[in-house]
Amino acid sequence: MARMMVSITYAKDNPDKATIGFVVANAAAASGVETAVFLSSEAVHLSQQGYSDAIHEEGFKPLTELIETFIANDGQIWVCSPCFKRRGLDEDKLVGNALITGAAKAVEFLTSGAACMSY
Amino acid sequence: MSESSPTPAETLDVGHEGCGTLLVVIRKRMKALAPGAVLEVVGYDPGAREDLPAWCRMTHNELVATTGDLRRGEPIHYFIRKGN
Repeated sequence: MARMMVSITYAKDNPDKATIGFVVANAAAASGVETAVFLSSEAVHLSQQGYSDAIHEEGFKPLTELIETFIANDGQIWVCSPCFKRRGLDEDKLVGNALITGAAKAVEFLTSGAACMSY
Repeated sequence: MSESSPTPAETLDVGHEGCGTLLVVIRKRMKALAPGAVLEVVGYDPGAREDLPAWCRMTHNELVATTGDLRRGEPIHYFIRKGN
């Protein structure tokens, strides 16, 4: 199976990029591609239940709906551990199947042949 | 996620260190061990639960056992056997 990573670094500081990242991730997952979204920097906020409810960019589905659809299509969400910790976020409030991880998991995925798009 | 824990040749307490910094420290310690020897890494980083298995697969070391539970306030103990 083909593999793809979508790297997202923005949240409410750039809701357009945060949204487009999940639009692309959904396209990949819906195409039968094993897809992982890697949230780092400010984007780690997107891993928290309820945070994305306030993000709805014109011309796109609401971000919470995009995230839920991605998870329902077996998309994986990986959350940068140091980015998560330094913002004092709550592991008990992670959305869906989100996993807190470091860079090694992303490196393994990418070096095994996954393509990557960054937002 | 617990397996029987082997006797380590060395124990490394990494505290809350994680991500790339943690891997650099572990790599340095592993280089000093003989093939087959076990390094016990003790730490609190939540990301290491995903990262150390991936690092072991990439570096051809074996993650023999993992014990502990961060949700109970316990550190995770990773037992890594050095590959050949």
